[in-house]
Amino acid sequence: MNDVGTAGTLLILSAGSGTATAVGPATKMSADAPLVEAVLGGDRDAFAQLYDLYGPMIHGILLARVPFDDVDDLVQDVFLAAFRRLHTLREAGAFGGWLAMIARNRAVDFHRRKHETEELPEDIPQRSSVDPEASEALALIRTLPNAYRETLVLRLVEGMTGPEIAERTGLTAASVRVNLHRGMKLLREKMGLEAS
Amino acid sequence: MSEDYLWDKSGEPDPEVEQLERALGQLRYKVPKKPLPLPLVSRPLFRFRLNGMSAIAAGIVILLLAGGLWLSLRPSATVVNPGVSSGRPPQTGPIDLTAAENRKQALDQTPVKAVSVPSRVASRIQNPKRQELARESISVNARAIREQQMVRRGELAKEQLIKALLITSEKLNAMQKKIQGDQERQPIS
Repeated sequence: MNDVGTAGTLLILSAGSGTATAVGPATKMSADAPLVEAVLGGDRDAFAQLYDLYGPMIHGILLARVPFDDVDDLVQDVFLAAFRRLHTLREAGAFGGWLAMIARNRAVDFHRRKHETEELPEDIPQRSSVDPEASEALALIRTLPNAYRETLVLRLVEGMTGPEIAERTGLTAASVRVNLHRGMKLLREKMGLEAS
Repeated sequence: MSEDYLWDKSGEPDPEVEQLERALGQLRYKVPKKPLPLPLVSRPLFRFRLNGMSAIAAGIVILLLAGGLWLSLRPSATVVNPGVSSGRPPQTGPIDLTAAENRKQALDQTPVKAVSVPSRVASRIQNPKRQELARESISVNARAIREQQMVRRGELAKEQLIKALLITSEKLNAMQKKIQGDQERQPIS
């Protein structure tokens, strides 16, 4: 069910998973608009600033979907794709949401190509440098619905606060809050089940 | 258990969340030492973007301007179009502007075919009644010639206007296709 809120936000409620996805109006997300305009004007240093600002968000979005070892390369891919296609962005203030969508699409492409080339078993051990506790927690988070896992990774791995997640991804604070609390509740349940 | 800590790290820390933060923190994004190798992308000198509504608005403005131009160039006299009255079909398809220019030059050089009584001849007519009739005849003939010329000029202006409208229409179509292409390429954010 879609509903247009009073503040001009589009609220999309998914009945199956219970996740909330509300996209705020682009005019509220204009903090990085000058940087985007500068990049469009040919300023490459401005893009480096955007890379620093949005690197953790893209890393988190990808980490919620693809293996840890592939994340760094994909982060670069996402930013390069964004740089090439930046002129197609209609509203500079909507850069965060646009970039997040590129990252999600890139993760889908990654799995599609991987599926086309080779199929690996699920129980392949992750990189040895990663703490087993972290691997286990991340594996549990990845079993959650997309919206929950993305928000939880941004909060617990990347250390972003709820308001920061909302500002960067273009989602409303209300939907981020809902996803954080429902996701954490589900994660606790899964951790309890694992422990028992 | 503090809900605020999960939301914005304020309030009393939640031990479970803290433990997860510690464990997962090692997977956090690390700023790469090497800068991102940006490709050289050729940028357009200027960006011209029209969304659907502004394209329609621009089209309406152009049509209004063209209509105003046509009204101002249209001959005010209510004369019958000789092309229509003679049964000639109206011209369709692309119009050659050079041909229109040639016709305009030919029009300026066309000798007056209407039979008129020269004024010197009229002055020689001694009968005042005939003299008056001759003057009227000259006046009527001159008016008819002027009207014919105006009609021809109006036709030329109309042809040029139709050509301008065709060009405008093609430009608008191309713009619309470009906009639709951009919308398909751009991911929904």
